[in-house]
Amino acid sequence: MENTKIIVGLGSCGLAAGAGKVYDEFKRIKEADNLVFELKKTSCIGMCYNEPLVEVIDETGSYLYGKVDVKMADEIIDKHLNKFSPIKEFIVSSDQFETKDGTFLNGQVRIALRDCGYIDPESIEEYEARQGYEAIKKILNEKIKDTDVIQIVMDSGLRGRGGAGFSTGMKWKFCNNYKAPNKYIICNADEGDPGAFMDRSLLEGDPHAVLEGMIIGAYAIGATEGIIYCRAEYPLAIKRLNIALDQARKKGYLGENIFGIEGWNFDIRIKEGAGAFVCGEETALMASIEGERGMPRKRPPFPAESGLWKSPSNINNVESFSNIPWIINNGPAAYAQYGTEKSKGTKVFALTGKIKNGGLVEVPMGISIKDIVYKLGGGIIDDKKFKAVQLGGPSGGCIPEYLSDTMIDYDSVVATGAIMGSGGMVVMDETTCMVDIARFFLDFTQKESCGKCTFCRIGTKRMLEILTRITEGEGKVGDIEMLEELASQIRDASLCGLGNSAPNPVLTTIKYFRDEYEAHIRDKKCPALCCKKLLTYTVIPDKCTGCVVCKRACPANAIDGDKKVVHFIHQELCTKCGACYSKCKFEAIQLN
Amino acid sequence: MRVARLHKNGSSVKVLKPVDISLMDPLIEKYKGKKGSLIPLLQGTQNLYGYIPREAFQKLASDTGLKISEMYGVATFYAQFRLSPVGKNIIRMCHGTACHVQNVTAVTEDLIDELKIKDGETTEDGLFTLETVACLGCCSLAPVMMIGEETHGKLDGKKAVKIIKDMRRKEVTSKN
Amino acid sequence: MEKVNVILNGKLTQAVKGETILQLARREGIEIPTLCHDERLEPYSSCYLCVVEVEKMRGLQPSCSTKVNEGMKINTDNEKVHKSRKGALDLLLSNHYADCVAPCKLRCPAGVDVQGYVAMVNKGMYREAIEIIKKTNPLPAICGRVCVRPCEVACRRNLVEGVGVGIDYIKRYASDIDLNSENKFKPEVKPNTGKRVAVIGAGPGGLTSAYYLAIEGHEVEVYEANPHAGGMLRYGIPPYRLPNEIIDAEVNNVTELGPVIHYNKKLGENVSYDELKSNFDSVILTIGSQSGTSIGCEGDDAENVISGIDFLRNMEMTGNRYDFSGKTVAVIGGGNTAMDCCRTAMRCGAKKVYVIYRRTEKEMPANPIEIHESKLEGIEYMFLTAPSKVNKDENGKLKTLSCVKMELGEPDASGRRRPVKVEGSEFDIELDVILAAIGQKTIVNFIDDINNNSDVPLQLTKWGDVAADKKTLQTSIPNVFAAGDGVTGPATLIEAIAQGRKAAKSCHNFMMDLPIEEDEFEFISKKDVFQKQAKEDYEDVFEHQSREEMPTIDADKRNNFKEVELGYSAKAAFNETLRCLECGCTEYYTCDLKKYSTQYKAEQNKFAWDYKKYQVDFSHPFIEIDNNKCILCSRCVRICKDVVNANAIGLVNRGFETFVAPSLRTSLTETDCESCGMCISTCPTAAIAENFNFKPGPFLLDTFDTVCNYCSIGCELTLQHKNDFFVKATGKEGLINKDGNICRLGKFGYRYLNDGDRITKPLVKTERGFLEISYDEAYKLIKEKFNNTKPDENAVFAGARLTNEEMYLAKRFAIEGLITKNITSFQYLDRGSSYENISETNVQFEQVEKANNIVVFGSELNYENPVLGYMVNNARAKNNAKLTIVTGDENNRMLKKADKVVMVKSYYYFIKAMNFYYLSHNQENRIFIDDNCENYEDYINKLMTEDFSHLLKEAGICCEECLIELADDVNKGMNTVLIFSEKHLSANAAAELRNLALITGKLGKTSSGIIALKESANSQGLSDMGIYEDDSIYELLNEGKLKNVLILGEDPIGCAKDEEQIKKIFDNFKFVVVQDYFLTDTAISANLILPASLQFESGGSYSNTQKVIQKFDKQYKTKTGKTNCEQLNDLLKTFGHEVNAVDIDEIFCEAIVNITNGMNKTLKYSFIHTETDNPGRMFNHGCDGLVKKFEDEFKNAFETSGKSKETIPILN
Repeated sequence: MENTKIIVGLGSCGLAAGAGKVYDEFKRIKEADNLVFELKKTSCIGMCYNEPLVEVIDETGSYLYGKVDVKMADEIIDKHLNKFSPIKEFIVSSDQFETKDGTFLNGQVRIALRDCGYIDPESIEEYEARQGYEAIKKILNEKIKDTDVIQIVMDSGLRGRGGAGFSTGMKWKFCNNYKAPNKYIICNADEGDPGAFMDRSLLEGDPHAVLEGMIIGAYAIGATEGIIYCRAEYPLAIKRLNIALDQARKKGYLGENIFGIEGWNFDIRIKEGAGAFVCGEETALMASIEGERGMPRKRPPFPAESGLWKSPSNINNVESFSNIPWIINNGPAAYAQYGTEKSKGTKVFALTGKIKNGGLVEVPMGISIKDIVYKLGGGIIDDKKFKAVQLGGPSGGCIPEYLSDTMIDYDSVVATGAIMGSGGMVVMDETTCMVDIARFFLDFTQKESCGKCTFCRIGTKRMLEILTRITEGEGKVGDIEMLEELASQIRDASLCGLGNSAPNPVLTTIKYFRDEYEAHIRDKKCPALCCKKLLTYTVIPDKCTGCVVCKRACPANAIDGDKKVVHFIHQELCTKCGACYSKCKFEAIQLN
Repeated sequence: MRVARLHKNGSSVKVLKPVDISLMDPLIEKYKGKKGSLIPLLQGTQNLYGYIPREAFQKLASDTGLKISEMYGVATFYAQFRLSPVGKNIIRMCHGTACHVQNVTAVTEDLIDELKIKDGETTEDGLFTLETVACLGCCSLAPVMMIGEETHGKLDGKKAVKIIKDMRRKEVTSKN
Repeated sequence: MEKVNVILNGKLTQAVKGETILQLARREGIEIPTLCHDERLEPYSSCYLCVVEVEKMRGLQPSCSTKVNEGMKINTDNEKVHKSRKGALDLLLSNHYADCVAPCKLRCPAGVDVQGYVAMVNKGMYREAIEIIKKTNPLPAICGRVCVRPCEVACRRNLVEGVGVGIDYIKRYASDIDLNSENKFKPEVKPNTGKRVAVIGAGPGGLTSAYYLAIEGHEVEVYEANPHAGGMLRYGIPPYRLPNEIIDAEVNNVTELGPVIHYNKKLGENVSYDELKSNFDSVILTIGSQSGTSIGCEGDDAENVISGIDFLRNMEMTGNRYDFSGKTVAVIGGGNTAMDCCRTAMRCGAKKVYVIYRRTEKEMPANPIEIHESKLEGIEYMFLTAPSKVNKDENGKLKTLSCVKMELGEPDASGRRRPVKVEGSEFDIELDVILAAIGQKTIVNFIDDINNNSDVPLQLTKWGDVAADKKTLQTSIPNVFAAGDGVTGPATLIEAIAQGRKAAKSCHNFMMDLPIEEDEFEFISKKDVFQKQAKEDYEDVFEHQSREEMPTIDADKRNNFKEVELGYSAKAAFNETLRCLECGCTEYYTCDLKKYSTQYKAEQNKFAWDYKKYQVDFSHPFIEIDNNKCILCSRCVRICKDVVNANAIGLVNRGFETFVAPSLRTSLTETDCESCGMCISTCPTAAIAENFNFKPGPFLLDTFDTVCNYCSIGCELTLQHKNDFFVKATGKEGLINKDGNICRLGKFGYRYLNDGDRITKPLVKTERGFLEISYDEAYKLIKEKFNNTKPDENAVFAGARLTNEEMYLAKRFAIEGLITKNITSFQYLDRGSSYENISETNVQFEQVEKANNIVVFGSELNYENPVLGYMVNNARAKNNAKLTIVTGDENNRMLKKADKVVMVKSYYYFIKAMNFYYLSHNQENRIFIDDNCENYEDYINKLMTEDFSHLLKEAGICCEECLIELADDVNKGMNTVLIFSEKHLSANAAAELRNLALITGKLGKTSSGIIALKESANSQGLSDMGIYEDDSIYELLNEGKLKNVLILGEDPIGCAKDEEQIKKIFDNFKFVVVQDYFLTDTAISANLILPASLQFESGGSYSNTQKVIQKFDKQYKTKTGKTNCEQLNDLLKTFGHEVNAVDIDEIFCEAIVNITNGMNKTLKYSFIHTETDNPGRMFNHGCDGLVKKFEDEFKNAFETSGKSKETIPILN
């Protein structure tokens, strides 16, 4: 037992699912029974749908238990550790035998996520044990020049993983070109897209990879200071980053004369965001670091020339940075072997929505949407009809099921009207209303608009109002055209990407689901039975047992009926709250 | 002479209890003279008081030279900052895409019914403040809410209300 | 300048590298609209109005921030660009809860600018009020009596206390005054066009057409069927409401402009269309609707059943009253004609008069005042009653009238409830006379005459009125236009006037071969688009004030045709004007948003949904904030931060919720606001506007440019005025203030120009107080007094606000007239002479922009010489220039703006210590000194004998290091500018500062050196004109040796720092003459006061602190009768001297010789050593009573303004 490790996944989602209690239970038993196994922590491996996850590694191999609770913890100790008998029905993945969930991990190529779920993110030693900080040491030992580092990154074909997909090496090259006493390298960890948590998982799971990527970047562009601009909503990520920073400083990887090189002073600090999605935009992000309202300004000048405090600055996304050490260690060709002609390497996606196996996946570029949804994701919850995926969050769009052969690469995705984005992939089924989804995203962008430019400030508001009235059955003929007109104006005449791309969710849904819009406007119907105000609740007489539960639940007293008599809903009184529908145990209330 | 107007003050801001602004001294000391420290100063202030009191703006202005109009502009720009006291527990309901498609709106409505407050408000007993937020990044557990630092996932209305009730009960017992 | 080639709208164009597309387009004369851009500020790009299309760039580019690049292909206007701009405007307007114009004006068919003329009446400017009215209505005195007043119905005062403003009464008041005035308003008539127009009918429509055609220079002849003009005004309205004299007077005002009226000429009868056709270029038919309609029931042809219209007309025609003595009269109908009939019938002696009306009083179309008056006069009403049959006697004469009772049913098309007969309710009343006031119709008995003589027939409508195009009023005959009741059927006076003007305009365009179009599109923002205006928004916002009642003849004294309404008193009219809520926007004429919305035909209701509603903030006495009008361009916030550096306002909230508010949402008065008005100057709408202390109209204003007379910077500004009332001042892009900045003094300092207390006549002090005397008497008195003593007991003091010309003549008068050298200025009394050497070393203001290091000694720049302060702040914001303040005042308001502060007790010793430090550490710039300076050895020798620690102690600084730090900063810094003002630094301290600049070699380079600031507009002129003398006069004053003094434009008593000291000096005077604008403290103590002319009443020149001479023109005839120069020339003549130069330019030429004489400076700078500091100034405000007056009033305005606590201005 002394060679047995029990590793508990303590990422945010694991904790949310109760991993903390599971860890405590293992600890309690270990101490109470004086057991000698090694109890360790790690972060999210990505299999969020099975959280809490516990990995047991013994002499025979590795066994990943899913959906572990306190009771199961006792059982694992009892059966697996004490009796050397792994509990097969609880194991979701193992190197010893095939499991149902095995495809979730096996279908992936984990480069950015190489350490996530495998190491204790609070231990620099564990990171170093897996080639950590070797990339930067290699650069220094082999005296690779800054421009050569940039060339390696360019050769790898890595494109900005924040969404825009600009060549990372090229970006570094531009910044390298500008000479100034102060230069900044900034890590954009203001992951604000609803439906995306790649960066959070990376920061929580492998913070040193990001730091090492930044140090390499600093070396390449000649940055004098590094800043991680991180969402304040990610307390665990910030905590682990701080731990990692302290460890790196102690090791001499950050601070003065780092890596023993006289005169190379470079440190990284964390800047907590204060809650503004628009700060993911480069110029707004820098305004925010400077202590101003996060309002974007016109580019050019680009940050590479005049960025933070008017000094040359380079901003990359978390995922981009964490790829860097791997690329240096393994060479650009190793990275570029994955992917398509113009989109190299891998991409991490947060797979969510109406999907069976929701979680974090890293896939090679070029994989089809269908493969992600069905092979990795295991298909749609309750095997309902797959309708669309939403890619790219509020700036992206919905790709319909019939285009699910679309390859994941920057250009193919853009061709559909969506964008690659930072990696949020929300799966939708037949019960998702596409007008409502468009309204949801507009509501988001409208609230997050900084308010500077006219089209974004007022235009998105007006679009939202039109969408809202469509979903409330007040849509008018001409609304779709008005949406399209506003959308094209907002796209063409907004100051920053937030405004430019805000109409995308609307434009793609109109493009692929125009009939759904028309049904709302013309027939006052929501085909997905989602828009409340367009629904009618009626009693199916055959199913109604006359139990009075719905009658009591109805806040508007709209339901008539005595015990054992089929109930009746008065439509004129019904407020469409859905209480009857959710309370009925006999599925006797129908929606249409 | 112009038309005589009544000098009506708009809806006046609630007068709040004065706070001990000297608590801010170490914070100000830490950031004094450093550029770009406005947001950390406000964050630090909020950590002290749970919100940013008016006096704090004045104190920051006189001690650091930051301009009140800019501080106020920043404090009202970012969602994180509050200008009035909040409840002991802040409930942050995630309204991200994943949560939205998993019907978080209904969960929120149930909470609103239970707490009898609207988004952004604080319960009368000062125990809870309800905030809807863009995305907590726990999409695979949607719908999700965060109370303090603790995240609760795969919610439905019933489950969410139960969590609140449990916390209330605990609060009451601990008081007694 | 590097050039790049671009294709601009298809044309190869050279652009300057680094400039924006907007800058290029403006240089090329291509207009691109923008709301958020101001050249004074960095590009911001928020409004997105300035978008252009650039080939190969995605979307559209904001031209204000997009820089030109080699080979760029730019299209500044095409369909896509145009649509996008309109889209931006539509969106901005969809959240612009504001009114461009007041509802009264909008509702008035003639569009009379009510708010404008009410504001004029409020100021007692009746002629100007009439001028405004007559832009669209030539008959205000008539209208002021009998208009149906749709404006008063629309008036929002109704929402405050239920009664609208007495607009018509106000109009009547102003019109009556103007009618009886010798200087009544008469519009300018354009040169004769040679075109001739015949107008048929001299009713209101015809008169209006004639009036506006005459103004355009056309010859107009009016053909009137009746013996007098006025139409229905005369023949339909009884004189107790509208006296004939009023009609005659206003008709006269029309004919005065040229139109001739031919009376008793009826078209088709004694004048034929054939004749008109050959004699005139066009014809306007304003024939009216003259014939009454009958009751329309059985027996209505009975004798004594008369049409009301005929009844009224007959009396006017014959001049005889009907005799209704002892008779019972019934009037059928409920309109204004019915009212005129019943009240006239009563005046004809009727025993009883009934008004029979089929609905209730509420539905009566008649003016409520008429109903009220009729009841006072004893009229009885039978409501819900309709005539069913007239019963005749055997002679066919009226006997009784059968009536039937009615009740109200469902509403009809007019929205009024339809009366329905009550079955079986018939009853009869005995009557002697029935007057039918049911309606009128148009008589077109001339139609055959026209059609017989015209190629095209004149078409009629199905109701028998003349058919005319609604928008242009052109009839089927192209050169025949028609207007008034004859087109519309019986309508109102004001509609006839509106149509008369419209027909005149179309007719004019027709004759001048211009397109006949309806009025051009004008965008008007309306609150009503968002929500119907309701009581809640008004009753708690305005103080309640009840309407001034119209005095009338007592009800029992009305048995005659005298005018019943007696007209407002001046006080009542004034009070009533105060009730006007000023609904229309003060920036109506200047708003950019409105301008572009008009240009792009924007629509406010395209997206009329959610909008923000804010409370308007009037708490600052000079600045009004109305967030409803804000488009969030942030210009105010940016200018306040980057130029003024006050940071008084900021953006609050995010996205759609964003608004502009003073710090912490307090009142602007509670912030660091400097009241400079720069925010007002940059606001493209009226979201931040001047909080006027008078009703600002808005008016169409006249303007002229002049040089500001407050401080020594020499900013040019534009004064905007209507006749002699000044409404606002705006900055002009001048020689000195190149970007048009002005400060609070320039911006709000104009208000004294409207001050009624100005001295305009010479005043002599007597036992009964000051008495007006003539100039000649004043001169005689001066001669007598001044000649009565020895010449050297006389002295002249000239203030620094006098023009160079005035100073020159003052000096001539002293030397030649009074034969004394005793001429100086109080401002410089006892201050030594060292200032004089410094001004020639001044750095040009515009170079401040490029400075890296700015050190200000003492001056509170933003308050004393603000426009320079703005240059300094801007250098900081744009160029990261470092600003150091050296001051002795802990409350120096610039401290907040500085990067570094050095507190000192003595500037003199501090600077001297710096010099000591340089020289004792061999840090002097030898090369500079050797090449450019003299007297160095002497200076260093003397200075080195002093004790450094003593100097430091006297300087009163915290530590030596702080001096050394600054000294090194100044010495090593590139482009260091040292700024000081005479207000704070003594002359010797200034001399030491000059030594410092010499030691460090900072003079003579770009953006490096000294800026010396003087206190008053023409302080430099004093020295140029040789009035800045040594201190001998101070000794004479102290010794009491001066007896007679002439003080020009200074207020030593009012401005004294030590009043006792100055009073003591004045006690020694025997005879004091003061020339000033107002009764300053010094003027009050004078024996004789001469009125002073304003700088733009005489013209002349000022020399600013940098010796830039700026001339300005005479704009006005002075209110004083004689300008200052004329008075001084007169005095010279009185004292027996010749006057060579009378004209201001001639005086200037003479004076300029003096200036050039003063410019013989040596080639080398000389070091000057002084032993000790010398005294500072003895007077505040530059010893100028005007500046004192401004500062006092300014301060006072804040003390009396309502201070408000933190508020949230959001209302919805």
